[in-house]
Amino acid sequence: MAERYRLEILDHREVAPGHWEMLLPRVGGLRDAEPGQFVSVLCRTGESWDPLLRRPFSIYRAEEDAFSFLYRVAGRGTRQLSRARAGETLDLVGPLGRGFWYRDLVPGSRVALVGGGVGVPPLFFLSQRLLEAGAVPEIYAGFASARQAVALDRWQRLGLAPQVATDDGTLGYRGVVTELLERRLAGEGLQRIYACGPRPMLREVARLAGAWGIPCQVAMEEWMACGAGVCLSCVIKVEDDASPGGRWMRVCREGPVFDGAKVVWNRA
Amino acid sequence: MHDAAGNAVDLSVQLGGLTLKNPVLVASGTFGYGREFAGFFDLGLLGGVMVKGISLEPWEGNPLPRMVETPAGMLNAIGLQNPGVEHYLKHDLPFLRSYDTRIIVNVIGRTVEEYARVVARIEAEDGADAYELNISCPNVKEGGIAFGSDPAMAAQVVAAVRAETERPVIPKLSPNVTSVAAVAAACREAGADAVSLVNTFLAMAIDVDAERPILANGFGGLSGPAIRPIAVRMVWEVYREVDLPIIGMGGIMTARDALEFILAGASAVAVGTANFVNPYAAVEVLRGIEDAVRRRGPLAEMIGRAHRR
Ligand SMILES: Cc1cc2nc3c(=O)[nH]c(=O)nc-3n(C[C@H](O)[C@H](O)[C@H](O)COP(=O)(O)OP(=O)(O)OC[C@H]3O[C@@H](n4cnc5c(N)ncnc54)[C@H](O)[C@@H]3O)c2cc1C
Ligand SMILES: Cc1cc2nc3c(=O)[nH]c(=O)nc-3n(C[C@H](O)[C@H](O)[C@H](O)COP(=O)(O)O)c2cc1C
Repeated sequence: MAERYRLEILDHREVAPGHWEMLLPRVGGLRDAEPGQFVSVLCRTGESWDPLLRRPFSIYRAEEDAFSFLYRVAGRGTRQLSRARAGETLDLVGPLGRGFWYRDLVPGSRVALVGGGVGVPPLFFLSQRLLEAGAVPEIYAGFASARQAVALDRWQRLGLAPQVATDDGTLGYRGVVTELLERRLAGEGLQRIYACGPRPMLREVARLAGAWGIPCQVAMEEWMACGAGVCLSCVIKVEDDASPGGRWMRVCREGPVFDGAKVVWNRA
Repeated sequence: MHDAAGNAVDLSVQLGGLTLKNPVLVASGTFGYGREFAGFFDLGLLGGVMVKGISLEPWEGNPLPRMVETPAGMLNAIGLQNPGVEHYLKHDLPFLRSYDTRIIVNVIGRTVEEYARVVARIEAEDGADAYELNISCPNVKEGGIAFGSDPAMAAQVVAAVRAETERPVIPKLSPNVTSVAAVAAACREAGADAVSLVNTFLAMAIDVDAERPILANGFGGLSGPAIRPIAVRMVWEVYREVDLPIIGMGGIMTARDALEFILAGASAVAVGTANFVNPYAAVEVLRGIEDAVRRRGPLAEMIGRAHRR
């Protein structure tokens, strides 16, 4: 159940240029957070009402007593947030949304985790849970360049070796991460794909998954005002049995994770 | 509610025929049909819930982007997406009825007749304690603001609904007019019990890099702290010129903001965009008003008091 928390910042550091990791105590309902869920954070300081709205961030790491999110400085809110210091208080609401589903996987299942940019870190939390469930995660991570590559060291510490693609070729494969996935799909034994990243990447992952007949879950992003399911800003069209043409679903509530085969990718 | 000495603090207010146990409501479209917030606090604390606008048939709403943040505010062009009156009666009403709070149903329509038919349908199921008529939504092409921009049209909607119900009828007025008091006066003549002031302000934001409007709809409605001073001024004007109780709203974030509206002449207030920022905003506003009543005396005397100073 989502609650509002005012938490003391345990650690806040720039892990790559323009990319920050915010570490917070894992209390109350945050202990029940699942991978793919997010928290919605007040980014302003003091008594100003500007920027007004909370900003959503997905959970990156979930340790026993602490959790973190990793964000890119994208605009006014994240710029202000990046000035917060350890010891200060952060106001957040969470955990929100419906995360990835994985409890149905049988031990030994091979699954691909495909991330792009700041969509990569949330897959780390997922991989933690997948390992606990006895699944075998393969990580595919795409970044603009080596300077923006985040979260890789965490996987290495877990003994996982992410396959990396960068647009400029400064790290790993030169090209987009979906090309790595496409090569992998030619091989055997993949039972599911999980993806988080920019919409064009998700769309391509869903297309490839469909072509190879492999189930795929995508974590969608839309601008949201409330994060609580009432403002109807962040809706996307998703098909279900009753509505083959798709009906509006809230990214913040029914999502952010959806069945990639059900998302209506063409915008109205 | 009790004061420091344990005496009850009376926060009840009378809005035409509608009695609220306290003056704090939540604004239509910022609270859904209550469910999402019930996890944060007991909805029975509120004076009432103004539900998201309801139409005869389901409405699809506008394409995305529907929302963009602006300085100390936000623009929305949701386009009144809603599942329709039958869905409300079946799924949302029983839930809301389980709380000790007033249900104020926000009604939308493309024609005068549609407003009346929604109300008639809800009357048949005893599905509301009062009706708020949204004749002021800036985000739909038909209905909405077209009715609220013209005193004669506004009066027509009020009269049509008035014929269907004995319950309080509360038109929600648009701030996008030259004289909101003139529209309020026409609504009073047509039988309104109170007015809601204000809906969002017609506004726009342009993506300077892409060189096009940010919202798919082009225009949107501005809400949040940015509009509060204009909303307070409009409440002040209507209080001065029209003898009709007012539900004041527009950028209320704190109890002090709410008191501004009350002192300007609002008998009750609605918390809107603030619900997005702080899920407990309405409860905190209520606590603050309770506190003010304890220190400053009865609520009824506070209403419009700034006019008399
Ligand atoms: C469920 C979810 C999870 C997320 N998780 C993460 C995460 O883990 N890490 C991370 O770095 N980011 C994440 N994001 C994105 C993050 O929320 C945004 O980058 C952040 O809100 C930007 O805020 P800002 O004030 O810095 O930028 P703003 O100044 O608000 O905007 C920055 C840029 O984003 C664009 N933008 C802003 N608002 C909108 C809108 N309504 N529609 C379309 N474009 C818009 C603008 O064009 C602008 O250039 C997530 C988003 C969602 C919905
Ligand atoms: C996302 C959003 C949706 C809204 N939907 C409705 C609606 O369905 N009907 C209505 O009468 N007003 C609607 N409004 C207007 C609010 O009820 C309120 O009048 C306005 O936002 C001003 O108050 P505020 O600044 O406190 O939000 C909506 C406002 C927002 C921000």
